[in-house]
Amino acid sequence: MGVILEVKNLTKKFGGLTAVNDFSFEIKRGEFIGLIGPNGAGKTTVFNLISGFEKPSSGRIRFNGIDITGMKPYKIVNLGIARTFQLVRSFKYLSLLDNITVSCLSKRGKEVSKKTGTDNYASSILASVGLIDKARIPPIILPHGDLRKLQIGKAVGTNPELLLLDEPFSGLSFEEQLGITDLIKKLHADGVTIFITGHVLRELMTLVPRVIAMHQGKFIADGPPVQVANNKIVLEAYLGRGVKIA
Amino acid sequence: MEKLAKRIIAIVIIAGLGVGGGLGAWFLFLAPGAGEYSWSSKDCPGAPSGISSDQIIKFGITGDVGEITGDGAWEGCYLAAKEINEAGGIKINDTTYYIGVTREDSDEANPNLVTSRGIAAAERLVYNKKVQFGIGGFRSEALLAYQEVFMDNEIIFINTGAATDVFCENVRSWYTRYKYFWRSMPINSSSLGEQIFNYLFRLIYVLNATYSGEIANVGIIYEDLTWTEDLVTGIEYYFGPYGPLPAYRNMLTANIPYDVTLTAADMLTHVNTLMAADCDIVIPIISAQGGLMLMQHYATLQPNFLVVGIDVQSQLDTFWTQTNGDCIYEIQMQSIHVTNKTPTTIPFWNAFRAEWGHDPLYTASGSYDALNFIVWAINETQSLQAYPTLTQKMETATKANILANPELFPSSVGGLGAYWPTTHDLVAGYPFGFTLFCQWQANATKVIMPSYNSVYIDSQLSNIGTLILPPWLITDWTT
Amino acid sequence: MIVDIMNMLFNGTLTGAVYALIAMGYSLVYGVGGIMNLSHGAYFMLTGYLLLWMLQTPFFIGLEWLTVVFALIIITVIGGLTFLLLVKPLQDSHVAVVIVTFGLAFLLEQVVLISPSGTEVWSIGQLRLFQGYTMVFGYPIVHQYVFLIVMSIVIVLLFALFINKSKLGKSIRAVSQDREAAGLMGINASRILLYTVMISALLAGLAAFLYLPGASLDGPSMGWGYLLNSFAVVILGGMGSLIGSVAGAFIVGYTISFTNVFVPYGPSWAHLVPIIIIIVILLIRPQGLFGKKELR
Ligand SMILES: Nc1ncnc2c1ncn2[C@@H]1O[C@H](COP(=O)(O)OP(=O)(O)O)[C@@H](O)[C@H]1O
Ligand SMILES: [Mg+2]
Repeated sequence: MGVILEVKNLTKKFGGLTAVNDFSFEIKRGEFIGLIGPNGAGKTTVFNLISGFEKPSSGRIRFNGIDITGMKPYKIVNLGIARTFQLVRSFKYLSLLDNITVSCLSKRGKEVSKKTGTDNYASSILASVGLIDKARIPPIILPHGDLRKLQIGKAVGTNPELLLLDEPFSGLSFEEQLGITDLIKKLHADGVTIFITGHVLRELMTLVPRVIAMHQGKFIADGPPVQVANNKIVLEAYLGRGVKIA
Repeated sequence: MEKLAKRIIAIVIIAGLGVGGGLGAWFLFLAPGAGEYSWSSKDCPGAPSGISSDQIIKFGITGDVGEITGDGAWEGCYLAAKEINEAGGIKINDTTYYIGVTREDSDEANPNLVTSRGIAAAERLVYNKKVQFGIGGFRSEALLAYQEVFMDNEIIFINTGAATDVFCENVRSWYTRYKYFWRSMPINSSSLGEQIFNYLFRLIYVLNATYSGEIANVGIIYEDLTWTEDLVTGIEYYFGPYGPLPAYRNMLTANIPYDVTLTAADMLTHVNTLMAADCDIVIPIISAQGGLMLMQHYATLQPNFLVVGIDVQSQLDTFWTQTNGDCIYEIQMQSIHVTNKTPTTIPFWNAFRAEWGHDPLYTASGSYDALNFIVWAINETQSLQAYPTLTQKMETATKANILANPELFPSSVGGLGAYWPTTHDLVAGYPFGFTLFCQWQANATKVIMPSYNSVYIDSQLSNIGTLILPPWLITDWTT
Repeated sequence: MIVDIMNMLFNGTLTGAVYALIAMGYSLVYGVGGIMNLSHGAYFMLTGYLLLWMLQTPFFIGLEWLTVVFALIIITVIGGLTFLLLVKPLQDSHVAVVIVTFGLAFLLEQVVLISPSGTEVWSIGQLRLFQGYTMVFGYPIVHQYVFLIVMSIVIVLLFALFINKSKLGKSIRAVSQDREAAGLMGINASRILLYTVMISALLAGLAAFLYLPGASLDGPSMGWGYLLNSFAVVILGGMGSLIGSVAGAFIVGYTISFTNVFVPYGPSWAHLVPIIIIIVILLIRPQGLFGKKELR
């Protein structure tokens, strides 16, 4: 299996604060991989850098061998990287179906929607995230869990090869978490490479076969969850901040 | 969102003010003429090249550059200067002088008038260009402000565009300050009002004789500006409940002052109001775009009234193309047309058309007469002293003196140019300052109407035509 | 009396129809991109002069309708260039956008002013599609204006359909509601903004084509009045709200015509009505009648 994402010496400084510090890793096609670290570790910033929302201070990002460092977000999406936000973002006044439709109209989304028809494609995604019965209502009145699903649906509509999920479980009830877990697993089974963050280690432990740990912007460990969870520095990082690991 | 909207509005206002201020500064300091102006033969049309600044008698023209009124004032002066220079200039004590003309943009035709621009224009003429005489003016509100610059500097200024009475009243009431002010065009508002009433009085009489008393109501529609005030007061009086002629009392059934920024939809509303008021004659008192709108709606709606009044834009020959012929049947007042008001009127008309390619506006004939009037006084007195020499000479151009010895006074093109010595205002009334009533007729022709001897003696003028009523009006009045 | 009421209603509708077209595009651009495009009134003015200049060119004799096509294309392109050359490089700063579009409006005005036809008022009545009028309750209803009102309603409806149903319309709304999130959907927000400004210029151009042949070209500065009134319309209706712009346009239209017809000496100050509306709305309901920046 080839490398899908290659991050090298990535650094992001916000004034005096180095949010991401000389960070490097690789992801292979088809992997299901987690990024962990306590709050403020720099996970969201890493995602922002990959998806083009922030420009790195230094370092390189390659996707499928193409240098995407500093590219505009919409171009990166059209190359095949989709992401969701930790804080849910949606088009408040478009219907759920139209929310998905918009993403199905993206360059890669169109490749599918051309064959199946935009409406069919959008409906099928909405069905797969379990929101088809709410197709006509706008997201402004949805509960939090449904919004998460919608967000993932919108990301899926762009027909990504690599999906970045930023804290998809935070603030959700246990049932809601289960629903999302199933959804993510299904996507992975369909061949999408998944890169997922979480600040509570336990959430990811059973889900992913590999995690990367970071702390204060720095790379700490990389490996199977059990191994990483027992890493001394990881333990210190979490304990130091008073967070439960498992 | 609320904050954002407010912030944006603040920004718009700040930007507006900023840019406005910038423009103001540009007008004041950076526009052509900032700093000392050096006069040369390029300012003296028709003069030999290489003449020096002190051989030039310097005339400054104020007006709105790019608007027909201001351009008219410039074009008339330019032509007068060119004729004098081509004839060899003028001699004062054996030194030859040439006439120099220069202009500054007073922006006074702008519907959103900023009087400080007029003042700035006058100041550039007086302080940077050091003019010795001023000619121009159009919008009373603007001229009222910037005439002071000329008065302060004791420079003779002849107004050739603003009709408001007050200007020349100033000369009478405060002679020591305002004695430098003159008006060569048009006749003042009160006189205009009187002439239009005299004409309408006869016209209505004639029409009522022909159409068995169909003319019962009159409406006025006018720009809500200073220059129309005296005229409107006059018309309100003549056609109002206390008018001098009982038969014409209470004829005024519609009275519409409008803001000059009006749109065609607004004008449509007004035309309908005039129709609803059953007007048989509508008197426009308009200097700007309202005239075109009025005539456009007139052509479309074919209302049962005749348009007789002041429509400055309609004075130019180009109005026909501008309106696509919609101005047909409009009767409007103009100071000059192809007729022998004086022996020099038609030669001037032709020379002007040859020079500029269009008909002269009243500001053009007025500025032409104004420049010639001053040059006449300079020639006669061999002096450039504004007061007392020139002023006192000019004050001899009275009605009585001109009637007694016309050959001693300069010829003028807009009527015999006589001035009241106490007000420096143009004398009104045939054969001095009088207005011509002209009607647009088929094929872009503009025909001088008979005034039934109410304003001019019809038989004394050439090219008097006949009134043509719109067919729908004849239908209405005969059925 | 009935004639007066007809007069007020018809002219209010007419004025409203014109402002609906102009303000809708103005509001759209603000709603989608937060762009305060002060050259919007100049597009309206310039379209009129483009038509005039072409009509004055011998080439177009017998091809009068082609001038409309050309004028609309040119104004749309100018709208596009406004965005690409002026707005896009500066769009992070509201002030800069306001200043630069104000500058453009001023420039276009000066360009028209120095053109051979810039100093006079003009009719472009050759482009009137309908002549004459019909009396209704003793009031003459001018056919050309009926055409304008009908076309304006049709365009507003088509536009609403376009925004709500078409794919581009959905993308436009997406960008309006969350520009970053729209980027995540692979939408090139800059491209969408470009289209939006072009569409708004086209709408201004259409308004000019529908209205000016029955009205007149009042001089190069005429755009400012339309800009100010559109501004009043969108403030009233809510910045960025399309329904608001249409409703606001008719409210402003009827208020002006009411002032013109029923208020003694109203015509002297009817033009102040929009400014009064701006001030009152900002004081009592700054978000406008229909609120919300995002396109719903
Ligand atoms: N735009 C920004 N400007 C300044 N500091 C930022 C910005 N974004 C993130 N940070 C800081 O960078 C650090 C990493 O943040 P983040 O990536 O959100 O962490 P995580 O997602 O792991 O909780 C934090 O200290 C945060 O305050
Ligand atoms: Mg985070």
